[in-house]
Amino acid sequence: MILHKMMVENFRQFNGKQELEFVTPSQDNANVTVIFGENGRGKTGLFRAIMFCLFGERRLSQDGDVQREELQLVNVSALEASAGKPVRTAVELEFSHRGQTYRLRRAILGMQDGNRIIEEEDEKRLFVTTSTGNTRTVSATEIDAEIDNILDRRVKDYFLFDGEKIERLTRASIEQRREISAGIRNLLNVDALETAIRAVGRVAKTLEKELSNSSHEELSRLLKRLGDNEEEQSRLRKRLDDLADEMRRARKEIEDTDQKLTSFNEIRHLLDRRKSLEKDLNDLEQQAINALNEMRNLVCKAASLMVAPTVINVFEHIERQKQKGEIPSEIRRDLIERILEDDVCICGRGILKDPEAHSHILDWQKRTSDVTTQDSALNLWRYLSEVRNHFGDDADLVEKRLQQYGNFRSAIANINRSIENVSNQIGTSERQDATKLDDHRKKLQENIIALEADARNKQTQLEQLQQENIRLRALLKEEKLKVGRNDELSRRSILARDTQDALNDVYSQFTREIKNMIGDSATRLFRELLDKEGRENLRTIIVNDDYSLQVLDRYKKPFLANISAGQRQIMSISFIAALARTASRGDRIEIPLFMDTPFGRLSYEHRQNLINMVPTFASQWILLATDTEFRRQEAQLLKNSGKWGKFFVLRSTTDGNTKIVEQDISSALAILRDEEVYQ
Amino acid sequence: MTNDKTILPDVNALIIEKLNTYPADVRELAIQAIRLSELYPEAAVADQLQSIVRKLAKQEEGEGK
Repeated sequence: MILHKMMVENFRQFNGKQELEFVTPSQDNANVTVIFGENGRGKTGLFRAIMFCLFGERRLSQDGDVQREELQLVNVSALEASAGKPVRTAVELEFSHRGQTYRLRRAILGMQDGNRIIEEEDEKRLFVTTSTGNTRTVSATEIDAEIDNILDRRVKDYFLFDGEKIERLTRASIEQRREISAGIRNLLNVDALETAIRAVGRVAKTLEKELSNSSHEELSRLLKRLGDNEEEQSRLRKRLDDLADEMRRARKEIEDTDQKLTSFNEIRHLLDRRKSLEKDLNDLEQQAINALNEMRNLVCKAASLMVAPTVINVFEHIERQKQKGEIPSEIRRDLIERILEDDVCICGRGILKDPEAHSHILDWQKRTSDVTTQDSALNLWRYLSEVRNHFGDDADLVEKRLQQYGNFRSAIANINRSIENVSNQIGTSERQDATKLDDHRKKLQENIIALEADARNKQTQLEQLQQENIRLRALLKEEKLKVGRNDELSRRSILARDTQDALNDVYSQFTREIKNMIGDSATRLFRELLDKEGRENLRTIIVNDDYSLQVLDRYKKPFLANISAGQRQIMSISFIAALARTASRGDRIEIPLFMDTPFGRLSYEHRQNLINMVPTFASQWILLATDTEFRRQEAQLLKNSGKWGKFFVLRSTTDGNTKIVEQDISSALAILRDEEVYQ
Repeated sequence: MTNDKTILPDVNALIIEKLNTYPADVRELAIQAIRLSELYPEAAVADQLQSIVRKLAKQEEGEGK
């Protein structure tokens, strides 16, 4: 899918009809369109317009808990000027896909009704022109299916990289894992398989209910325990969903409170300072959690370190015997036994006639173990030799992680003290209303910490219940078999459960395959986007079983706890791009890639790589940028790449609306800010 | 069923292929469950599966497993 043109009419900040023509890949090798504007000027609004036109959706994933009715699409100025008459809000898109050109229009009518604004669907039209020039009209009822076939609505979010999503994926949180899990699930597109699993499970449950009414006491008891276990699991899952919602709401409220607090000019610098400290705190906490998780993974290795002295002793003992030639002995025990039995040496002499030789051979016999023991000893020696080599590495790693964790905790304590200090200054501000807002914010922060702890706890409980469930089901199967193969009800129940397990196995295989596919693709992008130092140390991105992300270093050891905030952002971008690539079914992303303020905390080299690399793997890149991150230096880089085709500026008008103004690329450098010193 | 949207050209065909390693009755029930799930909602699929399970269990008895 390639976007050619869009028209917005009375849509959000855009009053009247305005047009924007994207650069398409065929034009002079360029495929980058930059839409530049300050925050609030409507950059994301343009992406929203595209999603509205394609899918009729007004909400974006980053809207969080904002209610649908709060998201008003009709332009307020147009509404005010209409003197009570309905206002038409429309978006038109022209795009091409697999040789056909599409013209899509979607419109709503907005009306003022007292204090409310009512928005009703007005029209949707789609014309498709084939490569031979024939045009057909798609009936209104078929439009959604036609569009869905070009871009599945479930994967549409992977084509918008907003700064917040990038940030969210860098957190080792439950939210991150859920987002990754949902992303992979959407790519799998296995609706029928999921329905089948649930339906077979339902049959199994019905049959087990019938079985539990039978006279088999143990069977009834196990079924009851299994039922309780599953009920508790579903209760915990529901609670985890609720907690995630509560956390999202609290975060949104903090953002709103911060927005209100910025109106107090005298404390603005303190608020900025606190925000930056909190960001650092968040980074450090994530790194501490990652270090802790890595230490957990090292627990089994740490246990083996406890037996290290014994292992080394055994190894050295066998080694000594080996050095002396006792293992393997130069003369085999069966040969010595034969000599003693036949009383004839291999040279033909009688042994008994020579007491000294006899005693020497008896001595040999004592020292020579049998072949099996020798082989076992040699195997043990080989195994211990391998194990022994790892002790040093593992001990170093455990020690390093422990030290690192300690450093993180002490840095966290320092930042917390600084935040408290800044908060006290904000709190003692003369403005009472500012103090109240700040107290409210503090409570929200505390609430988030408590919610996160609760969620972690519930997640652990859920994992334990899942383990218990596997055990109970194995016991139940054994019991059903005991009840007898002649019992038809029991046989039906076993068949239903076995089928459910088989379908679940297949589902897991699919998930694993796609996780690996995305991990491989993300790794390739990651290595291309990283700076030189990062490329030397960081090798592989993997999606863990619990859907968290991990980075392995050149020794294939987990390294996430040590990477910088910029490297984590690059990791997120690589991961989202890998999802987009996978959804595009190829190495090139065949859907326009929107990036909303992606440069955030990136170093110059990372920005440089992003600017040079994205146009090579995306067929069309639409960069939504603010003045604080897209400056003269980035613009120069993009210009030098030869990929930059169009430049639009979103200008504020006197009535608070936005005007889309196309500017020549060469003039862009003149209006952009100069570079400040990068962190 | 050719699905243009999924990364897998015919995801259900691949699932069915993966089911080849399972016992015949399990595979049969799983395939029927997937086919029905392409057409009907969960509850309707479960209803229809009840009789298929009964038939397969009877067959197993007939084969003297």
